Amino acid sequence: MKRNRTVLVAAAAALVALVAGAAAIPRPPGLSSEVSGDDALIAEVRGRLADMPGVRDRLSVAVIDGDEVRTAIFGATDATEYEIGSVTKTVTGSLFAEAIDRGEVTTNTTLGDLLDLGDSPAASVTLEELATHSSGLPRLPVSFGTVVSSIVAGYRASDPYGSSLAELEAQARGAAVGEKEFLYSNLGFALLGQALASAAGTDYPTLAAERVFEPLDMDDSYVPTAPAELRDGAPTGYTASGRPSDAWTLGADAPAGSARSTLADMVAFATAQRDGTAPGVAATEPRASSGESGEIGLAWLTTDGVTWHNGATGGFTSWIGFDRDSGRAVVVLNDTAANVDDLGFALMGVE
Amino acid sequence: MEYLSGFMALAFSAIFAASTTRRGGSLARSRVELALNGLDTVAVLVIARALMPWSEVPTLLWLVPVALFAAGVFGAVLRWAQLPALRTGRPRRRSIVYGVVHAVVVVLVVAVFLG
Repeated sequence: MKRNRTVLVAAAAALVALVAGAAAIPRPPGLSSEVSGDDALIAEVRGRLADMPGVRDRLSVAVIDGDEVRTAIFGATDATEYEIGSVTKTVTGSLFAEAIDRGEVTTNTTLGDLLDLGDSPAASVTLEELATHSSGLPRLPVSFGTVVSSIVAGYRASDPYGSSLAELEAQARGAAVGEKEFLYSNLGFALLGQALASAAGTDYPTLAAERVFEPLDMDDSYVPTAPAELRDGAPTGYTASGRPSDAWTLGADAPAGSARSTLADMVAFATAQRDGTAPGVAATEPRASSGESGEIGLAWLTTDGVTWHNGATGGFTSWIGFDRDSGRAVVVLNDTAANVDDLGFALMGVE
Repeated sequence: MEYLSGFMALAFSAIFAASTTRRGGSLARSRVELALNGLDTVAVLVIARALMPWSEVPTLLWLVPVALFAAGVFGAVLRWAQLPALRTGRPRRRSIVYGVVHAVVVVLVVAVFLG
């Protein structure tokens, strides 16, 4: 009798565990079925995404040929805000070229001229070295604390950045400077943007707004540096596993990747870069090797004739590129962490 | 790392289920160890649910470790009365300290993911 009762209790407990587990079955988002834009482009994007695994939700694509702009928009409008991640570096590159034109800095200006880096190795790094990822600075500051916080942030799907300018400068003072060869560095671009802001006597978000966004009428683009600076209703995205991700605002690292923009604004940005009318457009001209990927200008990479940059945060990915010979430019904005580089290159005609 | 979390969920749930059987008895020699095995499995399931790229694998695969865990719960209830509270032959204080530290660490790990 007692044995039977125990078996019943065990079965009930197992059933509860099974039901609770089944109720928690993962439900990753899928590519939105609310679609607008050019039918042929929509079909092409759908077809290409079928061969590109990864979680999808909202996706905005624009293909610009001459004056013609075709879009494929899934679950969004052309005014939907996205984090553009490291595409922000192209804004920083434009600001650098613009600052050279204005005589505020030169390519040989050093970080130590503009930031409080004492006599640390990083103080002797030039702005051009930073803009071409050949400063010798590491990709990210390396310390026990930053490694642990990055791992925890990855698990929590939260923003792993958030340093103040003083903390960023302290990280730079403590950074080892290695060989002057191509090594993609978020730390380097954060310092570059802060140095340019210092040279202009303002902060980075204001500098980006006044010198890049406003001249191109990119009214819906901005650079938050803290969650409180996000606009009302600012969307967040999903991690590669489909978990909701926190917004990335990056603190003092903002020049490396915290800008937010829309498809309409990025079409204006890409078109002006392609047409040579963007502020600081000299940034797009290749000036150094970027290893196997080709060449690099001031942030902008050039591969197989396509000048481009990609971006990724915890919950968004992006891609922008253009080819002046063919006259085509492409923008891809995505609200999940699934890579869109292949889609961007494919739409440029580079497989 | 993402896929590893899925394999770990399978491994932990299988070990938990096995620890409730006669053959797998050495995997849990006390009620505390059995409970900790169950707690570990829940933690790894939480991690796998959060980290696995579920858009790239059938989500129904999630039910495999869940079913193993449920089987473990069934077996644990049956085996509970046959086990001593703490492992015999090991200092009582050591077992208690180990159990408490183990549980706290696991709860903290889960809190990081759910927090």
